Amino acid sequence: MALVVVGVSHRTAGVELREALALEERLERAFQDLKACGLDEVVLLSTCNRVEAYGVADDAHAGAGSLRSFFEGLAPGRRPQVRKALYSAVDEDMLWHLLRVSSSLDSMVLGEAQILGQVKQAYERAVEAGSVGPVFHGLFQRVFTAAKEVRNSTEIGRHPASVPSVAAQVAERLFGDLKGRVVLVLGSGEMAELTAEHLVSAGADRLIFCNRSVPKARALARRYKGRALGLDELGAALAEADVLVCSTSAPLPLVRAEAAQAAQQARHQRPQLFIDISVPRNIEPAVGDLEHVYLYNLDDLDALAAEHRGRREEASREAEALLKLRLGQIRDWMAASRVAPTLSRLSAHFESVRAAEMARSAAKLSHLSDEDRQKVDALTKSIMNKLLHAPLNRLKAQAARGEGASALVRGAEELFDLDPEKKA
Amino acid sequence: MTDMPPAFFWLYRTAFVLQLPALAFFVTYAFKPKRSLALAATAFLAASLLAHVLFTVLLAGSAGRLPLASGFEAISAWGLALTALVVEVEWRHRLGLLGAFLAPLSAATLLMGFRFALSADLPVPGLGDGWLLSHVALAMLSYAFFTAAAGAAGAYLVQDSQLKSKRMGALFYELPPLGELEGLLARLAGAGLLALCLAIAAGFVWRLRLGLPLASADPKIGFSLGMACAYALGLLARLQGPLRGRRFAWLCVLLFLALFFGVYLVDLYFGGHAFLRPGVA
Repeated sequence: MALVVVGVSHRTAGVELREALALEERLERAFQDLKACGLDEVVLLSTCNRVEAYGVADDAHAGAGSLRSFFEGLAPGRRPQVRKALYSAVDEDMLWHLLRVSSSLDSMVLGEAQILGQVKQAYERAVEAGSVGPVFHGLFQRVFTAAKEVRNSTEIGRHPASVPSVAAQVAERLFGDLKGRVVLVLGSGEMAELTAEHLVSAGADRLIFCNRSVPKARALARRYKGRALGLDELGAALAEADVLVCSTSAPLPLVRAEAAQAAQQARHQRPQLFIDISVPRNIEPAVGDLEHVYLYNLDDLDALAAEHRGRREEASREAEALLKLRLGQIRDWMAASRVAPTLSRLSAHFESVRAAEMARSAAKLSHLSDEDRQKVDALTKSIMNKLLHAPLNRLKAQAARGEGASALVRGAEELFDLDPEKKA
Repeated sequence: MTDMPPAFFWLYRTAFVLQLPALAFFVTYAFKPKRSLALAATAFLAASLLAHVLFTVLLAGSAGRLPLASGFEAISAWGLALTALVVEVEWRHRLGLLGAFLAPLSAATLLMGFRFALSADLPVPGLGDGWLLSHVALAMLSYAFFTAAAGAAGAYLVQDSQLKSKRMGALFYELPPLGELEGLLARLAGAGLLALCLAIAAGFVWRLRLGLPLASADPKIGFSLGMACAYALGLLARLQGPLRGRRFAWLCVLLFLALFFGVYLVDLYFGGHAFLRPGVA
């Protein structure tokens, strides 16, 4: 039995090729095709950044070949490109790859949280399609546990790494729960909307959209169930806002220090977070000198995001060390599960011989009392267990080392006439 | 302290000694925020609290009264209430780092008790009066709240300076959000003020029941009234706006320092509180 993965990712293929190979819309067919190729078990992972097929095959080379042909068949007009972009890994390398992918160590944004959910979804879909057997059942559960452990015990996903998410984090560190806080969005740029989205995800539920074009503000207000205002109402809205997100293309500052000071007085100096992601800046830098105003511009947020990415890099080394430990454990489990049927058959064979001999001797032992017969029965069991102890342990150890285990298994089956087709 | 069996006092010392590793773990946590360090610190603090509670119970059993009758016993009650408050806040909110600001203060309070223990405090006659006991218990509770408020104020100032300067150290991610710290700070100071006002009122009732005049040259009465006024004005100014945020945090720190050294100086060097010197009242 061999484990194999073949696929493309953001590291090997551009977005166009990844789109051409995306499996989302043709999963059912893909499972059928791959089963027909002779793969025992299959899980298909298709996200924006990767398309991968994980399989269990009798032979690693043949399994990888089948998967490669499958991917090439998905984009027949671009075979050379696909062939170049495809990568593959078998057995322990496949395990390591799956652990890294699930733990977000191979993601475009290191430590992003979505990938584990996507791998889980891929596994569940494969279960529904009936293409998961005992190997992938056990393997994926162990991989999920390891990935969760990485997430919980390292800082890999703790610090946001994009400007809008950093802005939301600063707001949370300033106010705590954002529920009930007023967020004023000035401008309708993509970044402003993205930042507003992150603030809403963090709990903000009172949004005001202020724009030179009121219809644009209304459109955003409808989407986020907020209020729409024109620029002439900015002064009053400023006093109400706990968080101001500013992203317009105005060439001059729209929020001046005097206006911010007036807003502060009107709200009894309650703290305010001003996020200025416009270039040129829309909030006068002097606003940051006000005691209860926390002003962050694009450079400040970008510097924090870069620092967070550095922290994720550091955490990824810790995560890899942890995954190496888990890899060893999964390898041991795989090895044990490979020899488990043989061990079970060997024990059953010995037990059947013992039981038959006991039955045959029943007449000869009839003069014994029930208690004595039980003693003899226990004695034979004890002898059998002692005889089996060394070979069973040797088989387990050899399997764990991964060297020559198959030869030993075949030898044991040959010696003791253990028919693999017979149920233990 | 003259009637305290030495074995009991060992428990007080144990309570103090157990605060030291708690302090060390909290400080280490401030630099390397690992959950296990905060847990170890809280565990040591809880062990200190247990030893302190046992000490107080044995002392009460041996004296046959609530142990609030001398400078040492009052300080011990202060330390006990503060440690209980820190353990409670740490256990319930799992803040980790707030303990780093509060644990030094609870250790310092216990340490201050040693200074009083060495002085020959005399138990006060007529201690059975419930008003006097309420007065001391409430006063010590208010001190515990003010001490905790000072710890929260320290945490607030650190968090505020990081948010303002945009230089986020490890502490930034470990401390509670600024808004939560400000709320906690105001609640602790408010609770302390309430307890102090009730303590002062109970003290006056006790004086009236003994037929003593309300006006007195007792330095502690003037000091406590001054502290209550300062906290009340601070809280009012916070509500109005001028003393919001870091100004209120600084005020809490400064008032705590005044309280801490005031208690020490007044009780030890200005003749102490009237109830400790019956006849002087």
